[in-house]
Amino acid sequence: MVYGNGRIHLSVEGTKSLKKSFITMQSIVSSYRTISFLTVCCVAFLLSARGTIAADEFVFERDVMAVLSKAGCNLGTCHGNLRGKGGLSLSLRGQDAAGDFLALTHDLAGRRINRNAADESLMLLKPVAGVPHEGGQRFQVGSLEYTILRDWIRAGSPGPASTSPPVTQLQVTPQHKNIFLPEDSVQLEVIATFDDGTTRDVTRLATYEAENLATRTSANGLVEQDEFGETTIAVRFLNEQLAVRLAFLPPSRSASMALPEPQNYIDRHVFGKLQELQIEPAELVSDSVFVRRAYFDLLGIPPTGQEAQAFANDLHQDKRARLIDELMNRPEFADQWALKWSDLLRNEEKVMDARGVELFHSWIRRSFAEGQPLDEFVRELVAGQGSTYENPPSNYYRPLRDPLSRGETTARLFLGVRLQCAKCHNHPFDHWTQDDYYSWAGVFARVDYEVPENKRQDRLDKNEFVGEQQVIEKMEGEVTNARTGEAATPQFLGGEASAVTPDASRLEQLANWLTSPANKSFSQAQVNRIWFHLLGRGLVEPVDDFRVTNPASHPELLEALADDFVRHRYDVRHLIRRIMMSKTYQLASHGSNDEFATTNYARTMVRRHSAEQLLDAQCQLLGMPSQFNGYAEGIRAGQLPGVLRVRLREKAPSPDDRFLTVFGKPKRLMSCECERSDETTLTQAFYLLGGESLHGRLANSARLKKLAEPTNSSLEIIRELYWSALSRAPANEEMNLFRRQLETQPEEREQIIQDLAWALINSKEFMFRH
Amino acid sequence: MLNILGTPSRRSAFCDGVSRRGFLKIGGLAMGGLSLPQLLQAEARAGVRKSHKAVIMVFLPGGPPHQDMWEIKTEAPSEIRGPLQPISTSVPGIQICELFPKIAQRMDRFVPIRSIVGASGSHAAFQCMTGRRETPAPSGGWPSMGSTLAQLYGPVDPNVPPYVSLCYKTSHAPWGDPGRAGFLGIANEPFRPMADGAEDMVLNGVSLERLQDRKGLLTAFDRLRRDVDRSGMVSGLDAFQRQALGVLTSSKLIDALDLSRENSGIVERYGQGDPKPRADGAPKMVENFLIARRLVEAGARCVTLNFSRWDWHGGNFKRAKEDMPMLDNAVSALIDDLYERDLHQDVSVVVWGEFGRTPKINNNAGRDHWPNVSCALLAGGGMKTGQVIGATDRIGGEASERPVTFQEVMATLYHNMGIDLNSTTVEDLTGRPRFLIDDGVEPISELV
Repeated sequence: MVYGNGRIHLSVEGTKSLKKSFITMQSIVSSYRTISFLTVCCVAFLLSARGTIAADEFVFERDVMAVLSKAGCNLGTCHGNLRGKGGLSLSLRGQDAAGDFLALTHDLAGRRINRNAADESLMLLKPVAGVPHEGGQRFQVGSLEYTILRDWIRAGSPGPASTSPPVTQLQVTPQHKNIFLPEDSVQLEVIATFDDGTTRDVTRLATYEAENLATRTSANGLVEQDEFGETTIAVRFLNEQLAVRLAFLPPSRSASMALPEPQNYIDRHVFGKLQELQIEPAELVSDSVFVRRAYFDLLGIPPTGQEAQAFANDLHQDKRARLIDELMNRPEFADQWALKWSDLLRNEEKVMDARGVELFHSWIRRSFAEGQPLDEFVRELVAGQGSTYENPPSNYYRPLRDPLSRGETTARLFLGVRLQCAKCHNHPFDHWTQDDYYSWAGVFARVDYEVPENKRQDRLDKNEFVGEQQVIEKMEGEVTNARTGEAATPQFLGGEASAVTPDASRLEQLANWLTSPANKSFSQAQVNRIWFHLLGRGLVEPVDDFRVTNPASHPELLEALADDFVRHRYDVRHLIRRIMMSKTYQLASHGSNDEFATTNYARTMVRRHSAEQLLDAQCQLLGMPSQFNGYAEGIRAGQLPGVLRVRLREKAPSPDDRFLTVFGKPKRLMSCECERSDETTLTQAFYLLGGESLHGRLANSARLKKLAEPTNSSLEIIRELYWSALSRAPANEEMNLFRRQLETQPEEREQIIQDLAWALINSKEFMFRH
Repeated sequence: MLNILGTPSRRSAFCDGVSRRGFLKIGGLAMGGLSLPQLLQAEARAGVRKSHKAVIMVFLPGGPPHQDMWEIKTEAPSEIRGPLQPISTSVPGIQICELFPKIAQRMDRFVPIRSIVGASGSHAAFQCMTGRRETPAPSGGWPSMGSTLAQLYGPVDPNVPPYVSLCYKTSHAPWGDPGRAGFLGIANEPFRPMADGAEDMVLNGVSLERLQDRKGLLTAFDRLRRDVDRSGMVSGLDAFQRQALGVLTSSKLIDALDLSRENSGIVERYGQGDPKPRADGAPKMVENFLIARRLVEAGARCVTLNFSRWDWHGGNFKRAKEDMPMLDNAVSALIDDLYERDLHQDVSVVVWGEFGRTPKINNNAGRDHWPNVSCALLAGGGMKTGQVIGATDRIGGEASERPVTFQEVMATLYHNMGIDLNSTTVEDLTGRPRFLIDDGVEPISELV
């Protein structure tokens, strides 16, 4: 573990003996690992022993640049900011060595460097806080960082040389490890491979960024645990980076756990990891919870009381499987997926106009109703041309008015890649460069629109568009690469065969490349999204943020699902069935109460139902329709094609329209799942507790009135309410509680029934998917 | 605050460091598992402080006449000058308009800024609430200062929302903009007891007694179903339900809004308001200045309010004689209150509008829109008060000394809140960290 390829040049006397004593210390440490104090001492000791590399070895683009990153100088909050800080501007995370060299040596007339008295150089005085430095002390006099900079200055601060080979690969050991108490730390070792084939140990100069605060990593790559749990540490050296996944765990138990028998490969992967991590999975859910989950997940509505009871009374072994198939053939299944994709495809009235929204929505809906393979669905979208009215998928490009947003959105939706960082600088957490960004945007350079007439109503609103458009692909046009100022060569995003034939239809080529079975990014991104909708958390999370430094929680499972999906011709129903039949999907939501367990699917994540689901569930329970401006009575919230059909200035939103906004229905201004909010707010609580939309429905519900009729016993009433609201029979205590209410004040029966319904609607069991 | 418990739907740590959201997520789940030094370190990075600082923002819809308020242009020709006279104040050398005698008496507690520049010119509260122009903006839109504070700090008291807007809805809608959450999402929207919230805070025909019955039922019911309760998400909902039920029955929040609970002598100081909206603007509710103070005491971190309508294309001086004394009364009563309660170090007050008005008086004795320069009045927040910032030229048409941008005022307010603008960021919907203020903009150095 020596920075400098193992060659030690002595510049500190007695280093050899220090090294020897280090080895002795190390053996002590390994036998007393739990004594972390000692470990810390030794690391400090070791550090001082390490700054021992000869000056002639220091190369700006390798050593000085590494120091700038290691000390955090070039972070976005410091000098890596677009405009720099305190007059010094460096490239973000060191992507431009030549520019940084100029900034350090030539700006301010070279005042940052003093070759005659290297230690007096501003570029050394600042980071050691020898002069006031807003960023505080970054390293100490005499540290390796200090030595590198000082010796480089002494050597005449040579600039970057074209002969210096770039890093081509990083190797970190361990790449993945579960650490059980009494072990509470792990030493990472980072080896960089350079373009000329040489390698070097860069542990001391690599940077370590943990995903959360559960661990601490020393400058030296020693990761220590603070809490139990799993973490990802992004390790970077110069322009290369990768992620290490570590789990710190309680003492290993010798007895193996009793895991449920796997239903399919999903369980094998998930339970396998639980076994490794020694997390006990929750039990399987009861029928009443399963039926509720299945209805909400597949149809967006809860089962009616009868449906729930029928399922409970069904004695067949295979009833869960049959229910899944049955539900996937119901029309609401298509509604549900049309809603999800309408969110992502920005199907919204202002840009698409009401007719466009309607047409686009029905096209999406039909695609899912007919079971169109997802690759074909996406092909039609990305290659979509012609009239937005006659060929609805061409609406894909309607809100994406420039090549950059087309590129960003297509990458995000179909490849799971957030590319926008690379617009202004190389992606700080992935391998995408600015050139990649513009080359990819170049694929979309020739999309254009023929706009016969914009019948917009608000002339001042440039976003509004009313009328038909023709999406076309021109024969010319390129994107300018902002870095070079020249036309970008169109290129697909990564992978082999990424070249584009410039003068054939780029959209056709895109559709082929994107949905090709060879394109694993596509299939993985799509299965991840479906998994997210069913399990509440993507294997890669956030779902559209696949990157080197954000690895999947279960990489092999992700691959297996993607392969399965491709083998079954991108059949969404097949994949959903596969997932829902797994025991993983069917685990209960209670059990171990930490995030660790949830992210590893040891239990089901509890989450609030969406705005549409909550409103539709209320309406179904009370037998009352909802009302949205511009729609006939009776349409469900989950069936609405757009966002707001009648503009706010023409008519105040109906209580139900407002309900949807308050509970987080997205405005569809972004192609991101993250636009839909599942947060809980005070205003929402008001809506449920005293809001007019629920209040009116409770007071006028014919269904509740009918329940109150004297022929119904209180037992029947309560049973009926429970089955309809919560898909289960009331427990004894619940029955007693509610019966007392009903029977002590018989004259106020109707009111009390309303109160019971109100309490059920406000209960957590009603509002959360669990 | 549910942020602690919600799904981390947007990526937490993005560019640099650990975000507040990420911190809370872990802090909440660790249940004391974080070591103290680490917690402090994380808090320091997340900008969390223990004391409760706050901002009260008074928005004067329409654009108040800067030259008739804090800097009377005595040397200007009469078609520009108008009839209002300057008066001396408690700070030698500072003169302001005669219609603000009470503020003049307390000038040592105020700072008029006479040279606000960079107004977008749009007739909207947006720039005052956010410090930004409406476009260009990231998806979701720029968040207001109140929403940003709510995101960064969360509530002081679980029963009081951190961000409350007393802004009325106005028929010219952009004047009723309470300062929205933009990309920070619905959880950081202001609670609006004078607008949306008002409808929800009434019981819609359900009697209080019946609500209590229902509440009892719900509690009993949920108690029986503890197992659903084990996820953190659910207990977040609980907090809001309790808070909302509290508001509907009785609570700290409702008490803060209820002036009958205030000492009547103090209520009188603020003067008598008028609940009737001024044309397409806000009503003249001076009482809201007092409610703002009560909300801050109860735990709000930011309170915004709109007052009257200042778009005086006609009858500028007639309107000035009506509205300015009311404003004088309310603002000076508020400042007195803050000093008496020793809140003046912690609570910053800003009074401003979207732009200034034309030097030349038009044919209707009014002044028209003038984005070139406008004004603001600051107080409290531990600032060095009793001085004037900036000046305009002879006719009050351009800033001649120390031009101050909207963002510099914002930066000062954030600074007063104890926020390090160099390191504090919030994430937009794409996960990109955004500084609260454009890079390079600093708090007003004369004040901090």
